[in-house]
Amino acid sequence: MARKLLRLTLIMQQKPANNVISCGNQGIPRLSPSRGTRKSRQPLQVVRAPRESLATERLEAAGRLAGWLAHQINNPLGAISGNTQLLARRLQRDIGDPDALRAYLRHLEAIQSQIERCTRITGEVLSFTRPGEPDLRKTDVLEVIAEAVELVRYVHPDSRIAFDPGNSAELPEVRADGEWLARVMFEVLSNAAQACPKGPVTIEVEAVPDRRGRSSGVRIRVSDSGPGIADDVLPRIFDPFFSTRDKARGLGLTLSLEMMRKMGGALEVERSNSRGCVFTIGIPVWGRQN
Amino acid sequence: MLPRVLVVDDEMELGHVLSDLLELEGCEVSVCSDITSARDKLAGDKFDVAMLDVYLSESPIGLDLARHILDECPDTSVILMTGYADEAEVDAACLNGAYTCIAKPFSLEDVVKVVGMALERGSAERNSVSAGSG
Repeated sequence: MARKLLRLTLIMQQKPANNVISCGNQGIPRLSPSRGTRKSRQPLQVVRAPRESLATERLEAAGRLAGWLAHQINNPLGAISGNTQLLARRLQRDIGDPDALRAYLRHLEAIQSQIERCTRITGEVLSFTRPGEPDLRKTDVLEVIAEAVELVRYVHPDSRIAFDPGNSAELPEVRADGEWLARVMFEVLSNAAQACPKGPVTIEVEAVPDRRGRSSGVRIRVSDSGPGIADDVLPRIFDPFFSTRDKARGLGLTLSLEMMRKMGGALEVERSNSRGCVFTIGIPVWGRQN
Repeated sequence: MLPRVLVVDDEMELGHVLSDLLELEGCEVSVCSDITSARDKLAGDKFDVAMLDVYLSESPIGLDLARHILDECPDTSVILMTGYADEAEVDAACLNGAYTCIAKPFSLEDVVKVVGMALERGSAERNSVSAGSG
């Protein structure tokens, strides 16, 4: 962990013109924008270098809280559900009038359906705070991106997402859980689409070479032309249950960060002094660690 | 002789539901709300099935009780119940011999089915042991 923090600090020091909140792992491609990209961008400013494990610790704490809540809620729900079902059985046995029986059972079904609704909510909170372990396989990044783009266009039909695969033939396959990576892509793209509902969201993909010129990973950059991220929001953007949108759970980016970390990748966000922000996802190439 | 089921759950209301249900299905049921009284019951009586809540008094000691039963009462099939538990721990308990784990809230039909299957498995294992020794 100390080496990881040191490496992150060094990366931050090498990027004095950046405004980045990030989480990375050893052995992954650096996620700072390429020199060519930097030239075309306005100067950036460092806000802070976060402690890498902070978001993970907070997510773990949220996971413990969710587990405790699920236990506290599902146990009494189990008793309510059990009594409801038992009452239905007894009524079916004891009530001779079919009309009366139907009326009683309808009420019990309504109770049961609300119990199931509560159970779904606790299950959802659990799944959002405890991602489990990734199923790491050889993964085609372009397929994953296409899948996520399709889903985001379905959920946000007015979004304008531009995706140019570029030199896709040169992209190496990565070591990732395709489902997890698609969830991260969906989260990042959804954020971008909501930040600029009318403006373009741009996806760029490129292979990241190591010192010897071999591919060490793949970098995906998602840029939006929205209003950018406020000073007080940027340091908290990966915090669990933090969101600037009403009705949002505030877990999407936290979970995305954790999933990327568990896959040996990274997720960063940076903001320029002009409009918009850029999320960068880094994924190690297949064959480096396996 | 009626099949005997031990239910251990600190949510007494749920214990009573399971007791009523399984008695309607023709079982003899004992309900305990803590691990100490459950161990006392197990020391004095034989059970065909034990249904154990994983989290008793907010710690996963139901798994300890499961291990105790699997070691000391090999004729008793263990069914775990949980509102939430660490999946790895539950998987380990199942690999070590617990019959299955059911999530709360559960359907009573599922409970009847799972208990019925656990009873059948226990009966088949006893028959195979007695056939082997005879």
